[in-house]
Amino acid sequence: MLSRETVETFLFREARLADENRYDDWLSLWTEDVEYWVPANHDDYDPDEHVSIIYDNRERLQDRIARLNSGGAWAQEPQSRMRRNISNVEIEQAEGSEDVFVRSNVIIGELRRGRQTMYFAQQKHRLRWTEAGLRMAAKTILFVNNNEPMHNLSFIV
Amino acid sequence: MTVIASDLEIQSLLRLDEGFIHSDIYTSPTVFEMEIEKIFHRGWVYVGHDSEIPNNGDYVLRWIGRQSVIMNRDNNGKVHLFMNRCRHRANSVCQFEKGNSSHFRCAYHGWTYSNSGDLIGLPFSEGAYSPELNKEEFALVPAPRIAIYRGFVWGSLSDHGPSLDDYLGLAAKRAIDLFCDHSPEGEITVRHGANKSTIYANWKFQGGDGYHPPFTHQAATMAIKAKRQGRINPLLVGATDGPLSRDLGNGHFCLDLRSINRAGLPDEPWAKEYRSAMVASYGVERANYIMNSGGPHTILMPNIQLLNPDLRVLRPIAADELEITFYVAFLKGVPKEVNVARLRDTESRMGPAGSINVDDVEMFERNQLGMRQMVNPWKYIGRGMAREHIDNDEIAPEAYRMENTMTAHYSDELTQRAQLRWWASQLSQP
Repeated sequence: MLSRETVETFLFREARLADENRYDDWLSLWTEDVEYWVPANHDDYDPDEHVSIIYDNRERLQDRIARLNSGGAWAQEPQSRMRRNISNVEIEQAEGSEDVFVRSNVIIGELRRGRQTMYFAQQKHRLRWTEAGLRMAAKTILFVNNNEPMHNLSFIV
Repeated sequence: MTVIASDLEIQSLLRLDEGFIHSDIYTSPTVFEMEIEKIFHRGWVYVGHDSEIPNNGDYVLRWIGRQSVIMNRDNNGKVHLFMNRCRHRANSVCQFEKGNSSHFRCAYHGWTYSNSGDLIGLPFSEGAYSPELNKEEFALVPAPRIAIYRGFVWGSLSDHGPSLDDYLGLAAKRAIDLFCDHSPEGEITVRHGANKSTIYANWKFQGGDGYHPPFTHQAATMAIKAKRQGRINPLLVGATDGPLSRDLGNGHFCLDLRSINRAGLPDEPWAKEYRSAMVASYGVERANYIMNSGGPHTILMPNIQLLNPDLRVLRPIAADELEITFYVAFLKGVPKEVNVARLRDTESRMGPAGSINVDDVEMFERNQLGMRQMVNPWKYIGRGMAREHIDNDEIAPEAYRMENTMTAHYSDELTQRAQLRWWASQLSQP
């Protein structure tokens, strides 16, 4: 079982890289397999039966990052300034695997083009030790307002 | 800002013969109020698809302009549109976005209506009304008109005006047909969730602009597709015999991409199974046409867009704010993988985190900002005015043919001109 300090250090670092739009550094936090999920409308369903805000495997996530790196991603020109706070961290050992499930709450404050927006969400991470160190294999973000019209989530959530 | 004092002055905001339009069309709160009154609270407005309420008792809560309406299916299977308002003191009687209920009960004083609108519960009425209250006169109020085409439900808050049939016209109905006929059963279901975007811009920004993709969507088309295609968008060069922009009448328009092969099916057993089912239903020639067409890229005034595989519904909030909902339409009678591919395709492009939508939102908002600059308030939409021509769409099978419609090059601003010509005629009505 990973220590709370190890888990929180990972979560805080992931948050900082996302806040600072360090796309490639953030991408390097993933394992080879990727499940990056932001549900739409409600929090739990079969993503093959219901549309999501984001449902990326590695290929789609790499496309997402390539787009942000392209120099033509106008919805991030200028870029968002962000800071996110993470709390309420709960750690659970996955059954039948070395992976660790982590639940946490996050508040994301985003400033772009003079408009400041606050987002509230629960995050679920599936973390795994690899030869390269601690990595995430899955991340789910449950926005409180995922059934409301949202403005652009053109930054990394 | 120009104050629009009368309907006649609407025409002064357009100089379409020269290709110029005034920014007030998009920025004026007065113009916006006229649009709500004369377009959204009078004409046909798309409400929902009847597959969203498959069972008796099912309902969804929707908007017609600023009015909250309930679209539901009663105990006998009939589809209704009711104004969401108790006949007593006007509380809303339905609070949830969707559900199933045999009745709607107002929580304020307990007045209760069946799902066919009848007032069936009137608490403590004995001796309270003289003469006795006639319950039949206090039923839920239906929207004055409802009409359904291939499951698409429209409502109108006016009891007169053109029929939905006339309003859509043949070309727009054939776009809906092409959308639905991607199913071998000719039926779609629209109950697989939706992405919802807020845009701080005017509702008349509805896309249908073939000029912008290589620039606005540079990131998506170049960075992501670099591994699959070259740099120059082939759609922007060449004559007017390829992809077209097409005026479908009554403000409806499309980017007509049906002539280029957009089937995009992978070499997989499920794709072959899908193709076989389509051929069995429609025959080889028509099935190939449907699948290669990629479906419609069609925008119907005032609030629905059919951009296979998703359908989008607009809700105007203010002159500088709209909401857009992206529904993925599933096809009936196809292998599961076909619909999963439609989900993944829509997610990757549309919604608040979609690669295409975010840059469209950004351009619409930059446009809204630009239009506040009033030293010279005229916008130019004159591209391709000299190459508009009537086309009979002879390459399409009869079932999808858009005869006798005005067309121009794919990238021409014919679509914007078609929309605004209709818009001006609507706002010039008394």
